[in-house]
Amino acid sequence: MQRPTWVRILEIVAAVLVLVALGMVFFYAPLERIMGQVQRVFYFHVAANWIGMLSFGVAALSGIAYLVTRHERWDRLAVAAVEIGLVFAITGIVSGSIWARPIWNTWWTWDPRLVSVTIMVLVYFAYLMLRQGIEDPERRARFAAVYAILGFLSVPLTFFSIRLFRTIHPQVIGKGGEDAMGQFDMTPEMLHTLLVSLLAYTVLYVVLLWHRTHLEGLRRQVEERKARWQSG
Amino acid sequence: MQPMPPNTTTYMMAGYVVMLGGILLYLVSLWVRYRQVQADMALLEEMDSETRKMHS
Repeated sequence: MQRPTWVRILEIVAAVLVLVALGMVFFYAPLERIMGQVQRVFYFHVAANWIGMLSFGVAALSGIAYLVTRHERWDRLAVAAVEIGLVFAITGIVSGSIWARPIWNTWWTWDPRLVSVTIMVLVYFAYLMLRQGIEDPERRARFAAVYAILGFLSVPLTFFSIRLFRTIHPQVIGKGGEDAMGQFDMTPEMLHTLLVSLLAYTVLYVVLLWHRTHLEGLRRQVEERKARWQSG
Repeated sequence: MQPMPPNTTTYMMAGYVVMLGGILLYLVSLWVRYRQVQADMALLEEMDSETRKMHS
């Protein structure tokens, strides 16, 4: 597979950073005394949700860029961003549910954060379904761009849900509410581990985004050539 | 004496299996799709060259 040198370098950097982050999670960050080992899920759980939200932001910006320029590369970037955002957001939800079982004594509860993040994921599943339902590429790209911009409203709603509503979900930035269950004070080692995990996932995200956008370009080339063959 | 933390190691392991496994599955899906697209490209190339031969 042909790819630019900077992508090859980033692939190596991403792999190394993920391994370093895992090493820090298991051997550098201290054991949290109230929750035990399961607290270590926090580092990659936060990073996964960060990438989910970042990726949906990239899709919204790509949507704006598409509507301004009408260049299909922005449409390719948007679809890649939504797909990768969904992968990370879903792993974030599932890992959060696994953490919640011993801490909240339930896999799932209808808490504002859990509801808002689920709505966000459903909004972006609908984005992919919308694309499937429109045949004309230009019309599909235009509708998808508008949808990606409007769909982004679900991202700040998810982020601020734990600040706006009464919730049991812990708050990473700032102090959690009185009802927060599983809230803990971060030591410097915990903060370093979180920051390295965020960096590792961000570099990995850039690599995945390049590959998925490139793949979308190749897929479209194939579709166009197939269409030319079929039309003779 | 401080109380021992609860044993939640299984949940921690399950969490990382899900998070890393999810990314791994996505990488595999990207690889499979790349392979499919490359196979389609090769087939189309072949069909194009066959057509060119027939016309020349």
